[in-house]
Amino acid sequence: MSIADLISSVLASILTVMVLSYLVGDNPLFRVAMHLLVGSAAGYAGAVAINNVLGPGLVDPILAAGLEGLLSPSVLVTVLVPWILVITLMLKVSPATSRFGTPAMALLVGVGAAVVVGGAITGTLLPQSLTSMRSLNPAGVASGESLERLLELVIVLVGTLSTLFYFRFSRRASGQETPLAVLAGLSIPGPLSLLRSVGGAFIAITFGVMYAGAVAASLIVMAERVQFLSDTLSNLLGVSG
Amino acid sequence: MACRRCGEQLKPILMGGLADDEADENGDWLERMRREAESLSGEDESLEAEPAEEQELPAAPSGSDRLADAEIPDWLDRIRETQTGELRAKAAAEAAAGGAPARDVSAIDDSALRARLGPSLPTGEGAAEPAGPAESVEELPTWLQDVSPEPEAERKASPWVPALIGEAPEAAQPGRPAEDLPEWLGEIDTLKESIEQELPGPAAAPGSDLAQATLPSWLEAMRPVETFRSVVQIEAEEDQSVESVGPLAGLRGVLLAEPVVAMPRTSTVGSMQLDVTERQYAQAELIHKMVEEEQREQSVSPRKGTRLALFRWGIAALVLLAVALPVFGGSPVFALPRLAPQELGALVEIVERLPVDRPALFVFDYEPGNSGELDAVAGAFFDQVMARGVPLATLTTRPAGSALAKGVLDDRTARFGYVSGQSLLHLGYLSGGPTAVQLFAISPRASILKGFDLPEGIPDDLWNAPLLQGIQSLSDFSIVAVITSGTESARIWAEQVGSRMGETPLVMVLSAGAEPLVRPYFDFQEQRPGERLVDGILSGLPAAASYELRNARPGLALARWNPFGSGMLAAELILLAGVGYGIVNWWLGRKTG
Repeated sequence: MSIADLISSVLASILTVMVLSYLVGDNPLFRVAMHLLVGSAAGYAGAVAINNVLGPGLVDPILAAGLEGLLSPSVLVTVLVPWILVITLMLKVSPATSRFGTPAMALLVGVGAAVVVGGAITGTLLPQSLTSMRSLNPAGVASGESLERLLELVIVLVGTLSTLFYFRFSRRASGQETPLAVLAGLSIPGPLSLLRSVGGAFIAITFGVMYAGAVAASLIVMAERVQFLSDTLSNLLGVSG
Repeated sequence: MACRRCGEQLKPILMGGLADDEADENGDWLERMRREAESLSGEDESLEAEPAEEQELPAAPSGSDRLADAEIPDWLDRIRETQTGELRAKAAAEAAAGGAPARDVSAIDDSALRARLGPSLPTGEGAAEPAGPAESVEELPTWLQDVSPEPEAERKASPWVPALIGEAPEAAQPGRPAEDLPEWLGEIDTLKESIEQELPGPAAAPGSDLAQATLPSWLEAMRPVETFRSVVQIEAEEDQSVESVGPLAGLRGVLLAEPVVAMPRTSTVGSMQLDVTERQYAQAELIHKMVEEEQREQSVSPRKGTRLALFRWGIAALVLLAVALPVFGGSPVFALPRLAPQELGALVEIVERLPVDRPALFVFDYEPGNSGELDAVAGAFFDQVMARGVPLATLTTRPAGSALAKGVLDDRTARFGYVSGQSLLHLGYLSGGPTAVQLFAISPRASILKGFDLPEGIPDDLWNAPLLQGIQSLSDFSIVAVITSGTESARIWAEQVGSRMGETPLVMVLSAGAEPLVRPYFDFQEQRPGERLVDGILSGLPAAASYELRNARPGLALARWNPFGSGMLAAELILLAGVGYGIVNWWLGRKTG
């Protein structure tokens, strides 16, 4: 390991410990580490934006075309229009000139919304709805499907319907639904309440799975950091030894 | 006669020269006027007999008039002579025409006027003597004959109409005969009596008979209450300020203009009082309470910091110990996964079929904080792809993604014989979010203008590099693999790119937390084999460990398997302990009631 790698590893280890110091509460070490992280990330992002976006998109075409080339219609469209949009968008900084940036902002938001909504309909809503409908087709189930498949379809059906019932934002004006029966002091809820409860259970399971995934991801990251600290310590001991 | 304006007694200068102070004082001047009129009528009769003498009728005053000649000014005397001459001329003309004998015009005017106006005609002192019955009543109109002369006391009284509710004049005494009053005055008396009967209490106190004035609410609201000062307090002279400037300089007690002009005060324009219903009042109270609650300072609850910190430190120490023990001590050791996820086989098969003449595109869409997990999860996938010698191109929608891609792949380039610029290129940062992703799927050359960390020898136009010469659209890549930690990024790529991939497979390498929301895109392919959104999915350390075992290339996933397993065990134990604590707490609470 080179000295540079060793120094960088030591600095990274120190910063890791500073971040982990948040266990004892908010403290200056944690704040310093956070400021370093945010500052370096913002500075790096700005540098990338200038180097990879603004330079190639706005400056390089002008330099490549030269003064004579700027008069050509194609360059005017591909260079002048972006420049106008950028300048008017920058006028949003001041409230006095903010209205001049509205067309550029409207273009930005309108195009973005159209892309997102169109993609959501064709890429998420319709495919998943078709998938759910097809999975509930009795003909498809009866054609030699296994018991596991049948059970899966039942779970999908019950889960879908009960979850939809859970988000039915209405209730009786009189208050709670009349229980179906009372056995040994325990009231059995009515069919609507039962469906809502089942839907709530499905939602809870979904969130539980997501939470378990987040815990697992965090544990992997923690293991990586502990492994990194162990390697750095080993390298330090090896160098000193 | 008296002046109608000032009431001063006037001398009767137009009464045929009959002004006589002594007669006025005695009150018999009207009697003399009557005698003079009779003498004139006698003269008229004589004139009627001897019309020639009329021309010689002297304009000289009578003997009584002469007494006052010394006091009458000359101009008044001339007026009197002129009028007397005119009267005589008129009488002579009437006599010559053969009409009725002329009467004394002045006498007729006075008596007729007084009879017509009745008590409303002002009378002067000494002029209240009623006309005698010998006066030519037969010459008066019939309506005037019915009017009897009023007593002197009544004529002296000021003729006024009493208020509807007020003190009755002395002249209108109950004992007075009704026939003495005009008809309209009798109606007033009748009206007064009816009002007195309707009003409670005596009519002697006019103020007490009136109902107390009640202002309308809107008028009371407009009344400037605060600016009104019922009592003006005047300071002592020595306390009053002395004016120092202006034309009033040096004067004491000058009214100051400052309080009126400059000092703040309540507006004199009162606001209208609103008519508030109960519901509006309740809503206003509710808003008032909400505002009050916002302004109220929240009391700082006593800190339970020591207990919570100890609890938190205990959990953190337990998890840290569980993760560190396998790293530093080598134990515990957990069994490697023997069952691979179902979707792993499909992914391995996809990679096995990748053509080597077209580059694969790896999209690094995660932040450096997730590199600890995703580097380990995606390692086996990278190893398999690079082991097959598929050329690589990287892309990112995060500013720091390019550096992450370089860091991940640089470790493997030497191991698998990749050369930067020939078999590996970093396309760099794709800015613009979903719009840019869609544009990249349609026309990659228009959306990426500059690469990242390009080696020497790469032309200025990145897309003229030998590795990318055949790339015109996203479907020209051999595979597109999106490595992401968030569901949002995975959804954007699936939605915007999934339908434009052609035969090129789309693979998702995910963090464990994002898998539940991305898996439906993968299941869509299983339900509809002819249609695809996501062809392969790889998520979680167990799947990555299985992948490495299948590749027979131990990597980061297997290296972190034991710490991960130990940490998960600790987390599960903590969760179980929490659930047990909650159940016991609920049970004890139910027992205690």
